[in-house]
Amino acid sequence: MSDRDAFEDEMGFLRRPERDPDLAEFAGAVQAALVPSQAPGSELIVPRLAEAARATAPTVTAPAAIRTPAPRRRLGLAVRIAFVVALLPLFSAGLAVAGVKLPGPAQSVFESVGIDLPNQADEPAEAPDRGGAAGAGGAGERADDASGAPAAEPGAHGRENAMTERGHGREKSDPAREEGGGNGAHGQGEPGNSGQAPGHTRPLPPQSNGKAIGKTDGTPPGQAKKPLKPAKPSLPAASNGSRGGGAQGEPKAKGK
Amino acid sequence: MAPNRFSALLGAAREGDEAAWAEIYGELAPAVLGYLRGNGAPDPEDVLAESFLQVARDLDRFEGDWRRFRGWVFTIAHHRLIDARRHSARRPVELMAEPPEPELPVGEGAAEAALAKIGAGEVHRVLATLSEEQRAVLLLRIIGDLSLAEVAEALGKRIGAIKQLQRRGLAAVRRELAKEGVTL
Repeated sequence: MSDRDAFEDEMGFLRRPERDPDLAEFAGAVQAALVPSQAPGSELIVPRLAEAARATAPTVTAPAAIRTPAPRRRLGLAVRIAFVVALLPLFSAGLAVAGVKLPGPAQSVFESVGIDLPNQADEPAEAPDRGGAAGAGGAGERADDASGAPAAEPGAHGRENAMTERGHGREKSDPAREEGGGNGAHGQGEPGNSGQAPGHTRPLPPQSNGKAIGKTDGTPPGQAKKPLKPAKPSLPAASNGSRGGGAQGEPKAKGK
Repeated sequence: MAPNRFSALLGAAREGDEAAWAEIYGELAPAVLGYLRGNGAPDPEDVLAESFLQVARDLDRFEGDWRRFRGWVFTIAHHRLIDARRHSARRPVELMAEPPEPELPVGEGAAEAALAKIGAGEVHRVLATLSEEQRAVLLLRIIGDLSLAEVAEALGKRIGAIKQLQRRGLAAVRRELAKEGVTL
């Protein structure tokens, strides 16, 4: 049923009184009784109406575009920003749960509020990764493992070697680079990949072929060649190399 | 009113042209006042003035033709009527026995002829038997000349509810007219 249906026709007597004379007469009487022929007090109200329209017109037209939507925009922007800020830690925590290693600053934020993120390795466990990047494979690991202990209590050999090897390394890195060859001379190729601790400028036996001293048959300078004992005796040698290498960023960089 | 004419009138009224406002007020104020009187507004003339001041303040927001404008003015008047009722409910009201009789030259038209037969008192009595909503619907239809949809918009109701109110209101009017033996 539309507007122009029986319900509209119910009021059809307004247009055609013959449809319902009683109601038509009643409607006429209502109009005559309630609706005045002239608007009352128009001489008083009309100037006020014009004034009210003039007063509202300029304030609405000019700054309307700026004024009216601003609070909503600001509120919407604030809500969005708050939403994004609230999502950031959740996103980081989600990454941590998924097994992603978060960077230090992100972890520290959670640690500062007392939240331990899952799947985040502790600091000591992170060391092998860094050592692996500097050295080569197992040699690098061993060098880093050892770097903790000798650093606290360095042996005489280690200290001497480190000092002398630094000098040697600086002096001989350039010639070594010029000489070329693959026998672990400093300045060659990628020191990290060669696995040789920087500072060891003495040519190594051919069979060592770029492996860290201590792991191979190479003998540290100033030491007589002895049959290798398992693990312990080799650590200081490895620590020498790693410490020397750690202190010698320059030869590495030069080598590249 | 022709669309072009109304558009020019609206533009002039927005700029505060008194002649435009005099025309708008002259066209609509009598019907709005009749609606307010029929609904028993506490002080119809005051409510009428407040309604048109509200129209003047909000005129820049209005968009549409004359018919829509007419409905919009009645909507504002209905809201002001509700406000006036609430306001008067909080303070003692001096009740009037009879609403003021309009000064009408009797016998000049069909409406006046009908009023001469029925009488203003009878009109008010019949209207008083209707519920507030029935009365508002019938007065907006008769005095405001609004369609069902426009009445629904003015009163904030669904059109189906307006149809029911109209039907029941007309039935009540018929009953009252028959009861009093007003047969024309």
